[in-house]
Amino acid sequence: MFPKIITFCCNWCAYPGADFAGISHFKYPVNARIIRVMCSGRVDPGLVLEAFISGADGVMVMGCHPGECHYEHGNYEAERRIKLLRYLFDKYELGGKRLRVEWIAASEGRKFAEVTADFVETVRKIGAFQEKAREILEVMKDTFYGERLRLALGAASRALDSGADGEKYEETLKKIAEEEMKKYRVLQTLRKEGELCVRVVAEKLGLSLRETFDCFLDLKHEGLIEEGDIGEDRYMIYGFVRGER
Amino acid sequence: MRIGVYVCHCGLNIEAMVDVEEVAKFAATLPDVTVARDYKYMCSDPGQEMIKKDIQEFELERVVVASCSPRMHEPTFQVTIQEAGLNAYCFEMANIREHCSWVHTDKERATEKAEALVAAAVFKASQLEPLETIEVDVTPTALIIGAGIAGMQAALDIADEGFKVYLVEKEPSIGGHMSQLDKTFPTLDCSACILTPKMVDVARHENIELITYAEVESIGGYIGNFKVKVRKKPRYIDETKCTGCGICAQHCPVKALNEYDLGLGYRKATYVPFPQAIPMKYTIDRDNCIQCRTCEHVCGMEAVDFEQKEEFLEFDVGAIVVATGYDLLDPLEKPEFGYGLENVITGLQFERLSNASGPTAGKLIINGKVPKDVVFISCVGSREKGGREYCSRFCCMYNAKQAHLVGEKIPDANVTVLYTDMRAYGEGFEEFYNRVREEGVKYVRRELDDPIEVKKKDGEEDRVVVVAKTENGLEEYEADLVVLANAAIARSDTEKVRRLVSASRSRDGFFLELHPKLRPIETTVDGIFLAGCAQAPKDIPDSVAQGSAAASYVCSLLSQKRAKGESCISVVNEDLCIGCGTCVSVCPYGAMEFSERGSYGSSNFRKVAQNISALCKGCGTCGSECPGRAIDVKHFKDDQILAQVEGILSV
Repeated sequence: MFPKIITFCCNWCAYPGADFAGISHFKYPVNARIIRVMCSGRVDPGLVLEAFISGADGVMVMGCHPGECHYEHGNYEAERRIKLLRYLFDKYELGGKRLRVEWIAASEGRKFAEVTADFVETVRKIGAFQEKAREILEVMKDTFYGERLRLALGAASRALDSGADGEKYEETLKKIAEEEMKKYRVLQTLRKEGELCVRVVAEKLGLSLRETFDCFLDLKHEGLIEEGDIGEDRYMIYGFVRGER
Repeated sequence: MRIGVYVCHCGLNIEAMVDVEEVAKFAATLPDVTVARDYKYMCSDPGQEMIKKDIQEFELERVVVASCSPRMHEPTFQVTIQEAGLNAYCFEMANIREHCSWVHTDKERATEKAEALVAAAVFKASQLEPLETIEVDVTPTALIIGAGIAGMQAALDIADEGFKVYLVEKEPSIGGHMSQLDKTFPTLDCSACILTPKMVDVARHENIELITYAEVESIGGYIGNFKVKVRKKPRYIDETKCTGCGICAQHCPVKALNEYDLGLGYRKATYVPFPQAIPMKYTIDRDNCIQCRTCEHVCGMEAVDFEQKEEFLEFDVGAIVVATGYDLLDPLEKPEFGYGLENVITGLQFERLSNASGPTAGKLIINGKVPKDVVFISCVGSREKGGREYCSRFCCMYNAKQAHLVGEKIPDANVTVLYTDMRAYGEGFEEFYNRVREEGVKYVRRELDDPIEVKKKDGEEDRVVVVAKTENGLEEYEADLVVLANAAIARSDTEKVRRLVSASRSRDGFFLELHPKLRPIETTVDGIFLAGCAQAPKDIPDSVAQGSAAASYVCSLLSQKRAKGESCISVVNEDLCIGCGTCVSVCPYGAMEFSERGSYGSSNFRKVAQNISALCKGCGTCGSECPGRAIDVKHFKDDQILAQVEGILSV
């Protein structure tokens, strides 16, 4: 079946909204399948990426309307993360529209059915993932499971509450995510191909020597790679540390 | 792992669109599934008995039921498996009715989807863990925020059951909006006559501690164990000494507009808001006071104390009722209605004019003139598409009542009501509306979006003109008095109170009930209940009913002594915790705190996050934010959700 759609629904608004669509017999395509979570804020972007890696073609996160979250602000957290994911999906040509956040009240059965039908159609038009997508998704998963981006994402509401500039914060999140994507692409290359030097990795990934070396330094600092011998071209060889978390 | 799967036909509800036998056969092929059956009604006694029998016979460890929404029957089946000796959380449900048979039209594809949902449930079930039920002690006292009619009713009912009640009111007197009203619809009872005896009951009740001119400053804790801090504002008059004789106000030289009369009348800088105020204790309004200290000199009780400071009270309660009422829309926001002109007033101002204790002692006089032509306009700011879309619910009827009162007080007056739709839904409402029409009040209908303008009549200082498109076309009404039914809106400090109690708000800005139909009194926070217009506009009997309903919820909680806590809560893996505090700041309930490990100053010293289980509501946001991925949410762990994902995608 194509497309396969996973919809994460919060227990308090969206899930009963979907129930209400059922009670009212509003029809929508069979492609959409629902997973219940207590709050849309529970939807870790890493889980969303794992769903894509496991074969989902589109993922929707549905929560309570702004201000109506059962847990105060979980829906805003969900929106912030999915927005960032969408940005990266577009940047890496995976199709940002495969991701959507929607607010569904318990009474909005019709909206649930309409939004679902529209989303299935949108994803159908985007089509299946390209061959290379899986590798990018894996890197993105590492990025969103990585400590640095999670620290910045997790601190967002705290920062905004104390007066931080929202737009600037969003730009910083994008910048961090892109840097981390580069870092984990480097790690993925080392993981796959064994020991390599900065020059070779830079060539493979089409990155400059400087940005590649920055990634190496970060990875070494985090204990994910270690220095090895110096090659004939005087470039130091680095290897991936086994047994990382 | 030994899992039993039970696929329900739900009569024809599922069976008509899903091949249930096929789904059961499919389930039997899934890993860990020991037995899979289909049955006509799983929730029936024989259905439940079948599950229980299987649990014993096949020594099942997990049970999956594929039927309706878990919001419907999850508790039913949890009890079923508990009766057979399984933990309630060793259960998972696949919703193949609301999310499948009822919303699809192709039986083959619907069956395939049902199989995917069953696979998801089975995969998750194999990852489920038994959870313990958490119980907490309950402090047998209650806090009521707001002493309008709803809060007073709740306080009286709880106090009558023998529980101590702290009733906090921010104004100098209790009574709320109801105390400002003249007559009440549709019975024309005098509002004060039915309200003041209740106010006296509240003041006299031995179980009620009345804290007026005070605001709740902070609320911590959780169901059964809230810690409350109240800030009592200084009255500059010692409540314990003041006898309410009023000699201070009599001699006070400063006149200020009386908020209670909505600016129509005056009071002194030392005042009680109205003659029947409770407590009958004077308050000095320091914004207007000129510090002549005359009051201090004339008071025989030496009750005046200009040095009085604000005071903080702290106490513990087991339950809280939010009864903070409503505000009225400032009609200046709708300039077309001409508010600001002296002949244009709001419905509540009319109440004060008409009220015997009001500024004109109940006479309908505007600047010394008895009006002849009176126009009422309904829906001022209510029922706006794309804006304040809700109906304020009590305006139609108070319009009718006020129209009647005009006729009663000024028999030769011409009274017109420009209405949009007449909503006379309550007991005796339609009859009253008919009566008012028969009395000669002219009802003219206009559409909500039709243009309307209220402006000064050229050359006449004391007349206005209402130009409106109505059912009769474009019309002009000259008037001496225009009364606006301005929308009831959420209190301006709703957000502040919402933060105190961690509840949610509806799209209209009022406090949100737990379920719009079945749980209208509870909030999203255990132990916090709603009463009156804080939840949505409602009339007096509905507010009283909700006050009593909230009280019965509070009493049943307080009399239990123990309350059930949340089982699906977060747990921190201390080995992975980096002590960044992200969870501490994202948790809406303050359920995460720092805990110290090792000794301070030594190299093994570090801070780790720790979950306060009684506060945690299990939303899981901390888990998906945790930079170290150190937090798991019981029953919704990453592995459990991923198992569901795998299951869903496997078919």
